[in-house]
Amino acid sequence: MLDLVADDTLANQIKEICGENVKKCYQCGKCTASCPLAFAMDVKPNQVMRMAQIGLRDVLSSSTIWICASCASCTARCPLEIRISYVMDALREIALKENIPPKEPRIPLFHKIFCRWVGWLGKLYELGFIMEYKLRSGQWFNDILMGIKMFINGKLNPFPTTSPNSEVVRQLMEKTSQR
Amino acid sequence: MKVAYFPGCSLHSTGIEFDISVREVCKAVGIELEEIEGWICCGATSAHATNHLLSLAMPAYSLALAERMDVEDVVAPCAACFNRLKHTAVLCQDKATFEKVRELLPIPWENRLRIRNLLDLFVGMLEEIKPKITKPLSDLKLASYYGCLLLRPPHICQFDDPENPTTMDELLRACGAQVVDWTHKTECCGANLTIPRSDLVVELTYRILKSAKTAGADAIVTACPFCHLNLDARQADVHRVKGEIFNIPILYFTQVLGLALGIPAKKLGLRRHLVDPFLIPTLRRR
Ligand code: SF4
Ligand code: SF4
Repeated sequence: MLDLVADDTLANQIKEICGENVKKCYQCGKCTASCPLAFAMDVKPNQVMRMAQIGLRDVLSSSTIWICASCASCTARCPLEIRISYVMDALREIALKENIPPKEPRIPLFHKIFCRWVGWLGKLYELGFIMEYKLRSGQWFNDILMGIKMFINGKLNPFPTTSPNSEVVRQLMEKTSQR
Repeated sequence: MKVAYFPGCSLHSTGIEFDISVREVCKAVGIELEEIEGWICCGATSAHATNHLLSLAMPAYSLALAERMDVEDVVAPCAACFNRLKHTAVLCQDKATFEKVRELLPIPWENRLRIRNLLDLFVGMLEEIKPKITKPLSDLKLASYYGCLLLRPPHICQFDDPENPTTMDELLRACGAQVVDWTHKTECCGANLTIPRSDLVVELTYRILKSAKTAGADAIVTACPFCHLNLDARQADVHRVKGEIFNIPILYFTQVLGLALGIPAKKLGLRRHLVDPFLIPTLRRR
């Protein structure tokens, strides 16, 4: 017989990270209707909510959790005031912790390299960060023309700006990743 | 009026003309900006997308540094930084969250400063600014573009109406410009997906540019370096992919205000945009 008992583990993990209760969702679909990126997602935001409610962990390998741009249109409009964008954040955090292979690997790679550069310098050195991302993602050639134009217009600072407190950033990263 | 200034990382690089124009305009209207010494990156999307607690702790450290200064307000012109700083300040009103974050910081923090964005500050002092507007931009039609991070989520930003904001419209009208009615003033540009998934950003920016053009705007005005990058620098890609040429200049609201205050265009960083603002005849004379 098909086991239809919902598993609360995922819903509880989400609540633990961001405080949101996915069980409140009654599937009105307003989040999906508001989402500017729903057209590119494999699981739509309201479906993400349902999967999280009943504990379908496949949601952690959806493209959706990475494609979501955190615009919070969903959050602004949910009639039950569920902060769906925070749920998306929590799902990403869980997926990373559990080493779930991401369907959109370049997006978490982007976040990882971003955080590493900020950890080094305390501030983001955009040019260095972008160059490393381009090298490691294999997207080396797109945007070269745009980059050159921006460089000529003085919009890509060739020199890193640093904070004297970069050590603090590393400590914060260290302490928060242990939890 | 003296405020603590949190420029954020973008304003040293891709958003440099925002920083330049912010400093010029604040000087002109009598806001003294004192940069927070030793500030660190707010963590942006990459911190909150991967580690919730870190995304609160990073802004909290810079806010703690600002508490050592003689100020009540922290100003972050970048909409993304504003959003992250305000997230920290608001979510840490919850005692348990506050304690968790405070424990992580190496210096004391009380969470007592107000986080402001510049639009809010300017509109609050509009009556003082109006008499200083000596060069109104009367033949300019502008689309005010708020994007996401100034407005949403509303329980954090607590700024204007999230569905139909009017603060920037009010400022632009005070600058003498006409403000068009358009459909995409609060739509998302795709933000940092511009690097890993530029195809999606091209789609979203296309819709925004198209709406502004249909409404008859000469330029789009923004308050966010992400939005600026996507709408300005991606116009060439929009042309390549969609076959439509827009050539709509994207301006920061501080540049528009600066021009209206009579500050010369070259002091406001207008030449740094990829889509040339001097395509608009009115601006060529500035
Ligand atoms: S808007 Fe809220 S209640 Fe409606 S489907 Fe989305 S999460 Fe559920
Ligand atoms: S926050 Fe994410 S899921 Fe919500 S509307 Fe924006 S892109 Fe869609």
